[in-house]
Amino acid sequence: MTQAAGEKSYSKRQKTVNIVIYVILAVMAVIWLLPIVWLVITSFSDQMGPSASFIPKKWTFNNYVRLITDESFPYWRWFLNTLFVAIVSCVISTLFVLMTSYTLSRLRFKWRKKFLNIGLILGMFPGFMSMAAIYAIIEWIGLSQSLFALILVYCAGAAMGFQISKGFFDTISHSLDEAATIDGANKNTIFWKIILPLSKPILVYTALTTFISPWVDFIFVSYIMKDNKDNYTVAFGLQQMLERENNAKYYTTFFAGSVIVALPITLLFIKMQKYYVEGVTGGAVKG
Amino acid sequence: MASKAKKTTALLLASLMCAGAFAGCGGNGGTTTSTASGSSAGSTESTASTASTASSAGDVSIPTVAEITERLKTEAKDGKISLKVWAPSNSKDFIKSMVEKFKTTYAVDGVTYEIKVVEKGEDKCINSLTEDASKGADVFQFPTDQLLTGVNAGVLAEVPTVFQGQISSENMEDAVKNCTYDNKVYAYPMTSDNGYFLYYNSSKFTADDVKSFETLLDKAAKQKVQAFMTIGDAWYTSSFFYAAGCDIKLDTATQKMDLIDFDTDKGVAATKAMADLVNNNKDSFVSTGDNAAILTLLSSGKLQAVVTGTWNTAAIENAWGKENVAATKLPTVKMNGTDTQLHSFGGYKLVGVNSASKFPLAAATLATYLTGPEVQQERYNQLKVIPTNNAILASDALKNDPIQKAIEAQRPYSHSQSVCTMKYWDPVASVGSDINNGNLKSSDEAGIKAALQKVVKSVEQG
Amino acid sequence: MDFLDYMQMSAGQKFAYKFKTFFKTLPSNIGKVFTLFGQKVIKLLNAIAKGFANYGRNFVKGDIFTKLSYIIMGAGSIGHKQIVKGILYLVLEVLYFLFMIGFAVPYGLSQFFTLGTVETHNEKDTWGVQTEIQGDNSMHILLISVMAMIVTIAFFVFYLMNIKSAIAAQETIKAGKKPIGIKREILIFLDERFHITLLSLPIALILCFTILPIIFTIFIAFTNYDRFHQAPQKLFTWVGFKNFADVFYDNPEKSYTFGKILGWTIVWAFFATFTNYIGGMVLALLINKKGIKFKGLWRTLFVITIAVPNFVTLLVMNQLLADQGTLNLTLKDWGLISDSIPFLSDANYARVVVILVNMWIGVPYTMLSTSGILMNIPEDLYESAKIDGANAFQTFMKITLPYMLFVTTPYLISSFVGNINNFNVIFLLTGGEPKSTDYYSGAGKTDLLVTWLYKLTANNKDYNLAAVIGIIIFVICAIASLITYNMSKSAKDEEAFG
Repeated sequence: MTQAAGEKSYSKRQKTVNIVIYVILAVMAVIWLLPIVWLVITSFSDQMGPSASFIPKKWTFNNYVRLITDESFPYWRWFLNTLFVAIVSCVISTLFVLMTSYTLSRLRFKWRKKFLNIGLILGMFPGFMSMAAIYAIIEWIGLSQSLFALILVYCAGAAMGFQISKGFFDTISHSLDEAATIDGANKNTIFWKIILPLSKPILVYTALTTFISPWVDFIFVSYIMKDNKDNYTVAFGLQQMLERENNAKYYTTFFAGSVIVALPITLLFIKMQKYYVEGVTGGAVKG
Repeated sequence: MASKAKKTTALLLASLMCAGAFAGCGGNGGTTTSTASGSSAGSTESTASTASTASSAGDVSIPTVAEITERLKTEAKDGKISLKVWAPSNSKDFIKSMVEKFKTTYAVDGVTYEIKVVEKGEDKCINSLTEDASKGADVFQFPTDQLLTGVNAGVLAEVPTVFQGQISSENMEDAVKNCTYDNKVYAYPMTSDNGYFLYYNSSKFTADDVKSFETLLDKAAKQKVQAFMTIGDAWYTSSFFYAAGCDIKLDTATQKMDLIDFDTDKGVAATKAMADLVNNNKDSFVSTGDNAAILTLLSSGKLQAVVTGTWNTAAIENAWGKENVAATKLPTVKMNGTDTQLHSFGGYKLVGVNSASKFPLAAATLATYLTGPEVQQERYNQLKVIPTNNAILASDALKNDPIQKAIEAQRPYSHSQSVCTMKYWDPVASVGSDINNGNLKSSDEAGIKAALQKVVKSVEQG
Repeated sequence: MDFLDYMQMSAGQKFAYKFKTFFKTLPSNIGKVFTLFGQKVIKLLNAIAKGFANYGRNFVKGDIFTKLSYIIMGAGSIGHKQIVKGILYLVLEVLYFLFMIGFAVPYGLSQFFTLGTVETHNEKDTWGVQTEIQGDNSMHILLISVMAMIVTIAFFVFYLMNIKSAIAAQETIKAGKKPIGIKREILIFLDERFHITLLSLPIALILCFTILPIIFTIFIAFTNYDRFHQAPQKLFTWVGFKNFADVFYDNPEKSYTFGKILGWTIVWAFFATFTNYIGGMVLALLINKKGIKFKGLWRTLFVITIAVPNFVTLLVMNQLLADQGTLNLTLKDWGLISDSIPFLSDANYARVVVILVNMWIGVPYTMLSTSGILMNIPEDLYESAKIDGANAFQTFMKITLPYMLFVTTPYLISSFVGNINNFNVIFLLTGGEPKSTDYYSGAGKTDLLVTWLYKLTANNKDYNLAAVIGIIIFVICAIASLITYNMSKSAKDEEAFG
């Protein structure tokens, strides 16, 4: 009897606790989503420049139409550029990251510790400082103002982001390698046939992060593309819309463009969430 | 980004002139010649050369179209002259049509022009050229305050001596002076409206209301509307310092700035005037925010008077209705108890030629054409941009242009930005932001003085 | 002290313990880093000396082919019947000399000490039309020189390998065996030397696009590459340590500003890291709590904010929170406030706001990253806490947080360093504003060292000064993370095995 009552009060307490949690979560969700909602609403607004109120006075679909039709801001072209760069650099970068992290995690050789430290330290140098030099190199190769230059720059630095996936590889048991070695497999076979198939979470995680970076980078694009508007990517193109001389005319178009960028990434994230969590869980623990 | 835009605004927009002094000078030049005819050409010449550094080129005769095309023929490579022109988005189409006209005017036998017009904001051209001039445009537009940056980086080609005479005789003397550094002409004057003045809604304020900030803000408070002038941007903050009698000098040899009286009683008076204006008019005066803030406030319907420039004309007309838009010089403000006229920076937009251009004569010819009387007139007709050409400025259309009138009224109180290096803007702007944040109060004279001393040190030692 | 002892402390004690240990061990740790550095240098010198001794000894011991391979790479291999390998070495040597003689020396190294003598100048014709005559490009000279240095070092490594391989082959033949052929050699690269196969391409790219530019930038700190000396139109040249002196001694305001910004950078990095960390963990705990329904939906709601690119949300936040922004104007409209709230224009507000907005951006990430680890916390730890009658907050402080800190230290260190260099949030949200007369030349109250650096480069074109400050940031980051890394490692060992 008393026990039942206790359980009842316990479950009652649990219920109130849960309600409190629901309220907290709901409030947080509102805070987190409000700017996004505003982003979406404003993308349908018919106004010149920034507006003083949350809700637009007039609604329109023109901002989206303009993304396709506007000649000085060829958004669709930029979108396709970004997609191309993102896909190619995602494939190459993911491969580089996996190769590097696998090597540094599971192979033993003389300079391993040094490479780990160098990798850590190189990441601390402010990236934009060396941009002038990178630009000069790209010009020598004859790639300036081209999409391949972007791909090259994104892929070249990719290997330095090995930490998380190295952490993931650290967690895979070494007995697997040993068993395979006894069976006569060489390290090449072990990498491709045994370790990679086990690495789906980290593979997805890495692919996702490398796929996203071309969508958000604008500093390198501005430096490499200069005035070649045809080869801009969305991030830099969108940023141009908020420049002073375009602000009044393209302010709402910026919002529409941002919504279109966010859509595919959101879908990807929702789909791939599970792997992302698994990948980063393995990786963050050991780092 | 907004803050970057703000900075660019400041840097970009700059430089009207001490037109008071120079316009006066120029006007007098003519009279001197006629009255003091006895002292002969010698004295006239010396007047001319002090008034305009570019006039030394005046004795070279201006080449005819035929002479130019003759030379262009030899400049062409494989029967082609390829040029790239940068134009801001709002005038790209205009420049394109003018380039077409240029091609027919300067048609050369057996030579085809390949002229690309590419979109690029005026404020970014010089910067882009310093990064990589070889990828840059041959001909581009830029605001006067960036001349020094361009000259330092060596990316601006000098104007050919044969074109200098025409430029200096046809355009405002002050504008030509703004194209000149260290007695060399580096640019072609194009427009003269790159300064700021006061726009107000004539259905809310009368012409008398806007004579002083105090009456303007009183009236605004009564009608529950607002007036805007940012003081967190050195381009506008300087208004108050100049008004108080401070001055700026630049040593061209070392490029060190000298801020005169910024940290004496004059500078303190200017700072106190700003602080009073901000603190006494909390409801009716907006003194923070960048260009986006102007657009936002316009859309809210509360903003009915604003200190800004021609780049916002369209947005203002859109908000108030075209018929209600009036413009005039800046209002006065109370400093040490007396009404003092606010000064301003006035500027020009110039056309420059890339010193790395493969077709220097063609580029220079195109630049001259794009700033010539024909195109300036056309630019005014189509884009309502105020020209620098004397003859067009004297025409009736411009004399009655309300915006030109406001610029003309402000001109005696406007200063050239060519004395300001990059080191100037941020420290001076910080005075404004400290007032806005309440860190500098008009009651605390010692604090103001200490802050100003820091600012001066920061700029001068830079 | 082992982990369990540690776990039994209260949160306050734990903090005190960590705090005490941190400062107690700080001097010795700093000392350690420097001794370590000294030891490394001595070790390196020893290794070089040993290398030279070996080099000489091997030459004496070597047969004719080995001796020949000291001059002609690959001779040793060809002579010892490893034809393909030998030819590859030979080709490498030829390529190297072609590169040096044909490119690196004439266009770079030969002018390294002057960085160019002929300035780009103009010629004018009778009309005064300017034509540019290209002179030396100091920047390219420096860049090619650095490239030549890197290539030479790489070549030297191959050169030593060539000798080593010649000797190995000689010994094999001496022992009466056949040296391994090219096929076997290739197989080795898929097995014992698989690390070389996997790492060479990534490392080559990192050399070109990260290390080369960084070394170049470090050299720039010793030149007068400023707004008056911009390549290619102007020449710049070496000035020694002048720029470093400028930053530190020349101007007390500059050092004062530097100190202040450094202070804020560290405060920011600390709060940005821990607010995100704890916030994300709490959110993950709430969502994953037993009995909470729609877990997937909640998670997805927060994940959406990750998916909207950073620069978009930051620019949107900037517009929302500005003095005359939508939020302020709406609040005024509703009559809730009469003056704008200076979210971004008052120093104190702005500093809090950037940290909050950073939470807005970062918490969903941490939520995702930590939820997996949180689920791995052993159940029995919680059970025992429940028996002790601990409430949710106590359980969090006593079990969850210490466990997480224990497991994710490296992650925390790297995100701390990442936040020191967090350019985007500050640059896009506040641009370093508000400015203050208190600071030197336009630095703002929310400026981090990186954003200040960017202003120096982008606005003033003083690349040399920027390089100096970049080096300083780099040194600070490197020392800080080496110290914390060493400490956390030692702390971990202590706790786990002590």
